Amino acid sequence: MSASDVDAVFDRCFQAHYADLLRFAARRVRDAAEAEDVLAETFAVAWRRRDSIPDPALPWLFGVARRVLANRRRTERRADQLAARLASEPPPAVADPSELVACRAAVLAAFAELSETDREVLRVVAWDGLDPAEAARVLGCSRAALKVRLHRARRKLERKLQAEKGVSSDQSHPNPRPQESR
Amino acid sequence: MSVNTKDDVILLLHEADPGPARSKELARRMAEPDAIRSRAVRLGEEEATPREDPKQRVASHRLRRIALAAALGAGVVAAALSILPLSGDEGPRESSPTAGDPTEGTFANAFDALTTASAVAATGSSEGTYPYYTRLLVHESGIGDANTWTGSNTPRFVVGETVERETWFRADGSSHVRYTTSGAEFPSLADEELERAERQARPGLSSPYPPAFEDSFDISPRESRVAAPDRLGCYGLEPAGKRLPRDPEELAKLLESIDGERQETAQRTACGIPTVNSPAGDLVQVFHFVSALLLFAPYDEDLRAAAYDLAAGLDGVELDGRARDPVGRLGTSVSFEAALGRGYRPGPLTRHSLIFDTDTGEPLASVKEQVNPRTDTGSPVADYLVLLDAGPVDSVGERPE
Repeated sequence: MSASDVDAVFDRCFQAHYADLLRFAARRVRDAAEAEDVLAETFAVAWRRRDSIPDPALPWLFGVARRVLANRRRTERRADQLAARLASEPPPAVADPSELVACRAAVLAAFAELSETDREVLRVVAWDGLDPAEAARVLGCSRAALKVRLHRARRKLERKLQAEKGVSSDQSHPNPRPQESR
Repeated sequence: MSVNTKDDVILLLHEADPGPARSKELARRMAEPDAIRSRAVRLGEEEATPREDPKQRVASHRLRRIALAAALGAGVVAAALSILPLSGDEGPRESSPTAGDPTEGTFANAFDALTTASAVAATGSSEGTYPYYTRLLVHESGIGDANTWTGSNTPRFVVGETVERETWFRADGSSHVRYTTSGAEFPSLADEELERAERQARPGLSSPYPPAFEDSFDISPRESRVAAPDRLGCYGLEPAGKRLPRDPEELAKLLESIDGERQETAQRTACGIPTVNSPAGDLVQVFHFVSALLLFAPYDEDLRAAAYDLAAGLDGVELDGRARDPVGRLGTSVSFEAALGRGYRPGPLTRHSLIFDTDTGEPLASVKEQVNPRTDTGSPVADYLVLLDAGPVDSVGERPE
């Protein structure tokens, strides 16, 4: 593959997945500057690996972005800024019909009470839309381990919803089927 | 890629996704994609150090595992005999789990390691149909102050007691157990006597391993018995005729209730059973029970997965990283430290470790050692339990190939 072909591979990857990666980052960062950093650092890795980007590229990119975020968090912890991070969980700032807003607020409140480990496995499945094999690759665990983690996290979220907000898992949804976020 | 639409909780969470709205909000305040692309390329060019190819890393780990397996096959006997000397050893005892290079570990924490082991265990193995499934365990209690465990006020020591326990499980969970005991108990030993006793009485593992069943331990008492399904006959882990739960939470409840009953018995009779004297004590007892379940219970992938899963959820379990078990096998070690004692008397701070193979979900050993050992006892290891061998066989008395 020639150098120009390799660069074209990177360009296609960037164009195809920029929006996906921005959404991925948006669920985890606290501001635009951090989102920019995460995207740039993630695509910098993709640039270095542009001759061997896996197919499909998205789970791999998510995995890279996750490690970029983890490194940033580690640096923050060293600087004793953990409290700021915990307080910066993305707010449910969306204008929706009132009942949907209440439901979302309850779900997000319950979600925020889970451990980071539980939140991350739920994020990659429910929000990033990865299937178990892809989610396992992103989280760096086996598929079976992913299932165990997901089961555990889902059960905890369900309990919190039932206990704290009265939102039952069998309650009917405002929308009968999920709308794909991508 | 899609969301599992059958799952209501995932659906609720999916609909609460802040990502799309927040990404639009962020995008308004971010640089244009072209600028981010240029920055990424610049960063990529600046990073001159090539990174390790993940495929090469996996291959390298696989080669190491193969080499390790070959070395283990040839060296387990030597390792066992060299690590567990028949005579006294002035140096530090090597049979305690030795933490390896933490950078070699592939797990971020104990939760990761245990849930991975749980997931691997849950996938089952090729041992589905068999007339019997056998386990060979060796339990050695090192030199220690037995007073804590007996409840007696008379100081005494247990020296090098070794129990070899061999169990053949039927598919229904019932079992045939045979065990041999050697070693000796010495009351109130003076220091020099203690030292001499350690040199003379520590029997180590049976040699050579594996011993022919009928020919070994000819000077030791031997006992044989049959246990009903799910009756483990150890550590008081008897679920009162009920099937051991395969759900981690139900299993936790059962183990906590067993612990509670044991505490009551200990308070009432003031003998026989260690009691806790710290909030962590209850949890470490559950951790201890989990280790025992993994090593003693009939082979059942769901039960094993539940036990690992339960341990993963215990607060206070720490990842030690790669470690060697008492016979030198490499595994992953997690541990729990707590002070156990009798009644309200503080006991020594003790580390309970569980060593297991995350590639197979197989438990290897549990080790109990004092964190700050008494100098006169010489060894920090209070006791350990090692699973030497396991596998399907055709009849009672047979050992796996």
